[in-house]
Amino acid sequence: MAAWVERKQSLVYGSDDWLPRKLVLVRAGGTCPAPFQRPTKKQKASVAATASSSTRALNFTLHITSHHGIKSQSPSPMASTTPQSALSFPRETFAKLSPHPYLRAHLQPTSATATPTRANGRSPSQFRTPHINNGSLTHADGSAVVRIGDTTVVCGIRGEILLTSKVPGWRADKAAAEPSSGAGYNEIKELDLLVPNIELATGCSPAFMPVIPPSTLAQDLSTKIYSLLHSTNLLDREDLRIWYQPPDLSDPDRMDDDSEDDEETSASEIKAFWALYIDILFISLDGNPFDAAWAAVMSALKNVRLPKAYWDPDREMILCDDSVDKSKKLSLNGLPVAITALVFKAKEQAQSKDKKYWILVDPDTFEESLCDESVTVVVDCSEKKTRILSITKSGGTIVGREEMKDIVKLAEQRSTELSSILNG
Amino acid sequence: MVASKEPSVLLSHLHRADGSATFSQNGYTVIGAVNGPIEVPRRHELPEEAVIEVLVRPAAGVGGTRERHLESILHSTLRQIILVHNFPRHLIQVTLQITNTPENKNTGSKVVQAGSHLAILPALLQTAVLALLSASMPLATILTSVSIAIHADGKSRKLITHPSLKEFESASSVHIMAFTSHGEPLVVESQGTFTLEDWEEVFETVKALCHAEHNRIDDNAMQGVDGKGNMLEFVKSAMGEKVAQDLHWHT
Amino acid sequence: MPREVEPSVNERQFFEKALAENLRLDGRAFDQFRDLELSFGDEFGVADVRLGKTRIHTNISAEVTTPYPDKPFDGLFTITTELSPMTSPHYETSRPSDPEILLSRILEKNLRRSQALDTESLCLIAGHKVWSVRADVHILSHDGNLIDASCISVLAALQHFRKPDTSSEGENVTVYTLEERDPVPLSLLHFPYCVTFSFYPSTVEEGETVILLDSTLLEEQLREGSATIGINKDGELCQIAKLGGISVDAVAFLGCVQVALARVKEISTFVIKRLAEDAKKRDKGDLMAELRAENDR
Repeated sequence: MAAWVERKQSLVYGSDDWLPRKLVLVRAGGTCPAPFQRPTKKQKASVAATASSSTRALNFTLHITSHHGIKSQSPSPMASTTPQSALSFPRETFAKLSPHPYLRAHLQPTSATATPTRANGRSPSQFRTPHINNGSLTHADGSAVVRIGDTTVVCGIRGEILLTSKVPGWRADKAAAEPSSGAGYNEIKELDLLVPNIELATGCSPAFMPVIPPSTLAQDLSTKIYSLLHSTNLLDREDLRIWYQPPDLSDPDRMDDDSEDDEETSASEIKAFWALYIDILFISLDGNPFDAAWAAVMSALKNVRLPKAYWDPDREMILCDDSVDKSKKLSLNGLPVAITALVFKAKEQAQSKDKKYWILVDPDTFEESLCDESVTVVVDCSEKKTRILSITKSGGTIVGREEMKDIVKLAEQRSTELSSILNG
Repeated sequence: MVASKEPSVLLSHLHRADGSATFSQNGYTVIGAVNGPIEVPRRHELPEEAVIEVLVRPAAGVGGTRERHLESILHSTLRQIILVHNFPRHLIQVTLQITNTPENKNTGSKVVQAGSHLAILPALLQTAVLALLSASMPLATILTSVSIAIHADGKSRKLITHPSLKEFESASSVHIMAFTSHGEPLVVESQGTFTLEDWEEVFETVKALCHAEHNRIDDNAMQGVDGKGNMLEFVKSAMGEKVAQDLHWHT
Repeated sequence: MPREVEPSVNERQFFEKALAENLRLDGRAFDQFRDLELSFGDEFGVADVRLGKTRIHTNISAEVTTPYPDKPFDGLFTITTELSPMTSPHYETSRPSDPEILLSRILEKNLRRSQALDTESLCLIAGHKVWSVRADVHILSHDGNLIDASCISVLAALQHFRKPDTSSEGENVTVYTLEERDPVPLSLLHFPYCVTFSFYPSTVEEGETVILLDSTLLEEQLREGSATIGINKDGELCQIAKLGGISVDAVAFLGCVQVALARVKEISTFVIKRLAEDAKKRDKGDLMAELRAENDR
């Protein structure tokens, strides 16, 4: 029977190298789905099937595409009702039993007229539509909900005051001396003023079990967000400083006015910093967590309004003004947008000769489970010339110079699309 | 103390691990040990391929999220070069102990250095590969890794191979790439602000440094690039010396 | 997880027979240590100890933190030990194994409780800012006698370590970078080293217990009991740990303490010699003179 199934498969996919290993494993386990349990009745039909093999192969392909209504040229009556023959067992069954050939069949249709489409109905270079909602959390200083397909992320940013007197090893002379020089002491980095934390909540994906320590994925993501926040120099350090100007005889009302003239405020000192706690919570996860998380962080940072904070010398503490008018937005350096693409190879085995591959952008969970190589590109198109802020790739050897060029182009396109939503 | 940009390696020096290597370059020293293929706990077992466990341990303090990130890069990379399908239901353990990092004079009192965790990635990758070779693990290919920093100030642009930590931190962009011995890019980690042209130039430079193919034709010319040898040649000669040492009785 | 390979019956019998003939498998005398090798890293506070095939790497680091509220005048000193899969594949990464817990407890007692490092000297501003000194003990290779080797490694690294210089005015503490001021050594009160004894019951009737020093991994696996004595070179006993095992004659045990003292004297001379050699190597220009001036202050 195994041989029979194998032969049918090769007819459908038009390839002779498909390995029905997983299929056999499942059947041996005794948990095979209905179509396999009744082979005797279908065995006769299989003779007929071989005769008209080419048409059947076409039928199945059409069946898949018509499901999404993209290319429904002639939906055959056979495909509309399942299961009719052993060939057209339901899509879900196919996807579960042999995910790799399933996705490959979509991308490499046997008929010449059908365009390669991913199992989720998108074309390889098509992104999912983003939805962004800002400021939905009342108690956070800035927040955003980003939804990309079935991946939904909430990001809340909260500012906490870090007194310089509490900072171990704080050097007043060093930090205050060079407020504008780029290199050297960078307090945002040294004092860890940005604290991103990612939580992949129980229930956002069937893969996450309750009550376990943060998964590798969550730790990995927060490191990526963290290093990207720093390497892009996204925040202006002046925004996070809380200055104190000791009362001056000539100008007694001035408290924390610093940005205009540094010469006069030489006696002023930094009393505290704002530390931004960036909490990112995944409500649901269907692939591509990094892009969604980064979009949420960006959107929330744009949404942040920090209250005006000042040092009260009488009470020796920092006080915050509760009027909204005096609160300040953060000035962000550019608008980086991240995109992730995966490389789907025609052969499942990593070390195979078949070099055919597809680059799939904005992957979902199903695609992520089938691909090893991933590329993430972060671009900033807010100015005329595109600035690339980060390129990371690992897990494979396919993407080289030419492929990267295409991916950067896709990133630029996506950037314009996302920027309008982020700015809007 | 000025760290040497020349790589150096000590192979198979830990007596209980199946394979081990100590690699130093650029002020980073990493000790790597490989055990495997060994038995794997049932809950981690994979029916069709070997499980690869990568453990990165910092010199001071316990491993945190940065180490997890480095581990995940290493894991997905090593999975590509080890013939994992040869060892179904087995475990291959790669432990990398960082023992020396260049001092960061700015921090002085701080144990954990924020950011800059990528600077150590080439050393980790190289150590892992050398330890795997020392353990005689069947590999599809080997990889070599180089880091490059670009210092740009509007007009001029300068590429620095194997930048020191200071050059690394003050660079406008840093690039870490690893190529297989067939000259295919396996790992790319680029950070900072750069253009596609910058990146392509770095890509070709690293490819020349990692990959030996041009080298065979014009050995001397290649050695001339930044005065540093080819990384692949380095790995080859290190392994050659090791084999010669092991077979010294054999003539 | 793979388990540690146990010695076979043949190995066991061979070992016992050799012991009965007053022989150890590697030909050492019963009270002889293996070759001790100690090297320091480029940075301060990095020590690499090799005792035969056992190899231990210790890294000391320091940072300024807030002290515990119940001990406002004391700095923090922590020792962490972890047996990674590098040592042997049967050690799991997240779960501490028994030998690991034992090792960290003994080091803790020997170095922390005996006040080898003066924690009060680590205080910068009482109740607000203190130094937190951390010793990370990395066991690279395990061939027995981890305790003695780790202890040597930590003490050597502590003596080698220099913390950044500081100055305080009122509530403000300034920590100087290495360029601004030369770093200063830690204030260590005494150097208690550990010596571990392994006990084997006599093979003949009424015979004396065989006592071995610096046992290899095989000898450790076959021993019936052990004791660790922590003592400094002035003969001040810091700890005695005999955790179960066969009973040992009290007089013989007193003899062990004498042996331990003799060994510790050798070890500390060796460590001081190596430290002096390292200092000489670092002494480029008049750096040493500066350091000395720093220490006089």
